[in-house]
Amino acid sequence: MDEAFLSVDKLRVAYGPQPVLDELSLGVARGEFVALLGASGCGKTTLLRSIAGFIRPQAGQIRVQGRDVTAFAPDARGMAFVFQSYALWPHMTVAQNIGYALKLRRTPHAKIHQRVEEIAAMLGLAGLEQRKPAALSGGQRQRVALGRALAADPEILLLDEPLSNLDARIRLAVRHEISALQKRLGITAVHVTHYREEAMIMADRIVILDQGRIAQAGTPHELYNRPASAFVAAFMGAENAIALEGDHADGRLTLHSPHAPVPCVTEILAGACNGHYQARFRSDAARLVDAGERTDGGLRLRGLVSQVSYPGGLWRHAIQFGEHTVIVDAHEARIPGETVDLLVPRDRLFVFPSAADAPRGDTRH
Amino acid sequence: MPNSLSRHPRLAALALVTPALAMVALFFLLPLLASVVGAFETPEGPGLANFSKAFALYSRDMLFTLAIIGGATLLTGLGAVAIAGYLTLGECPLAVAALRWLYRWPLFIPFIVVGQIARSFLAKNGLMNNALIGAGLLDPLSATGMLDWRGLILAFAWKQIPFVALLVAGAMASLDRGGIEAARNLGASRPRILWEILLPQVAPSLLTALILSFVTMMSVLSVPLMVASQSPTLLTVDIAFRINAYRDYGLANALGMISLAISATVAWFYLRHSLREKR
Repeated sequence: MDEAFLSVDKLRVAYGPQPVLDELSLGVARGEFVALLGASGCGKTTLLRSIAGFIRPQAGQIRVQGRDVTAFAPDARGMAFVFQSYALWPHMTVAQNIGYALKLRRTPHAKIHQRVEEIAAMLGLAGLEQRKPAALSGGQRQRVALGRALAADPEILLLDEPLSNLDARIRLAVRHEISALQKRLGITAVHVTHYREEAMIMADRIVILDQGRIAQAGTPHELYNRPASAFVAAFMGAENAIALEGDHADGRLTLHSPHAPVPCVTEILAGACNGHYQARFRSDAARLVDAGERTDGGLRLRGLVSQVSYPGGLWRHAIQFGEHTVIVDAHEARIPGETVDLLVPRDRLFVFPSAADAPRGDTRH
Repeated sequence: MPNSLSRHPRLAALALVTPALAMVALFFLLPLLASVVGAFETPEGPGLANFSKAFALYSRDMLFTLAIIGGATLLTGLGAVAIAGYLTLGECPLAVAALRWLYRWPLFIPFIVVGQIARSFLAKNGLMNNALIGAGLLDPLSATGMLDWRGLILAFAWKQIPFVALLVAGAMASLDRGGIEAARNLGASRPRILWEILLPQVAPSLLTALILSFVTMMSVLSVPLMVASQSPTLLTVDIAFRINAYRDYGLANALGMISLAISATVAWFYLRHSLREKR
């Protein structure tokens, strides 16, 4: 790996015999906002806490600007951590919480006061400096936690699900606030979350973790449109999954299903073979067409409308093919019991070899 | 009738609580009341004679009691905070586990045994001096026993530290670990985290534990009897002496009232403090 501003190199962390991070490597450029995205227990918080110095890894290195900080104390790494619980000190006022890092550095009182005022103003906390955390709203507490971290003037900001304790409505606003602030201050940030949308909106780059390994890393656009595995595709919202049989010949992969009136032909990349495949697509990627209608290309499947609902904007249809049910959003409602064809354009269909046949991380669409 | 029906559950509740109330009244309130009344009883009828005699004879012991118990409470607080602090902030898992296993032992040792242990450890020819002499750290001729005020404070603290440490460590364990990590992340040393982050948050638990300790130590007879029963001594020894040697229940009751007043003052300080905290 070329030397990034913050680099994690073959990091191994285990609780007992079970590895939580397995030789994980990651580079973060200066000023970049990276989101670590994954389900509970995938190791994202462990990775963040290892970077912060709260967890001592069994093997591997953490470097900041090429300097090995793996054995450094948490405060010697130039990083500030924002906790999921905010971890504000309840016996201190907002000003004392924010100014604590400066107090530890023996900054003169007047300077601490000035800096606290600046940060409070920047975060919209002006006038609340003398309040205790218990007298603040969730959003305000979150901003105090952020202010406390920023007062230390860190080069790297580590955010551990800082928005998960906020109301949905406030969360939307704070997302933008944090990423705007990060850009303005030019701080390098690593953000842990299990909300895809939060990661997509806030981050320059998303790292999807699965069982202690990186499943895929890339820009939100890359991950959304070119997922490297069925796992990533599902995480990126392609929840509809169909099992298909694939024939590989002449540089093409032809996919068959008993529910497909016509086989689907895709261009094929390296590593494909005959066997079982899984196709994934988002509910808004498919179009419902009448059984008689002619279409060109893509995956076409014939099924039965089993349920129709209206969540707003589009009509949501549950379409059944044998034991499979997929969800398809359409502008017009169909009638339950009706036979329809659904058509997924090739560029919105993600096809992966089924787990048993799959070389790991293979991608094509 | 609806009226009697609505009264009925209340009667049932009263019937349920009566045995407990009777217990409290019969075995706690009545003896206390008898002791209070007894403190004012003199051969000449009710009066303050017992109290003036108590102050005339034992005012030095009262001050000594306050100083010893106060000092022991202070030492207990320091020791307990040090132990609880290490249990919470210690970074060597083995040392933390060993300390966790060891520190509670004195909880299960009765005061009389504590007195005995203190006696055999702190006496002039006790275990501590023998060990120091054996190690060449102490000249045998200059060895002195510590069976005086020092022995009392040490024995009390030795017995009470685990109790206070148990409550304080529990309170510290229930705090958000994130608060400790946030302070570490910003560069606070462990003593500083203990002093500025942990202690202010567990202060109510520490105060409660110390006040309970204070009151417990006020009532211990065996330790002063074993360790330092010569004058000056603690009020409990004086009370026992008035009863055993003179059958002077009046003066003993008066002394009891005075120790009750000392304990009550401490409790009042605590209550005032905790009420202010709540406001």
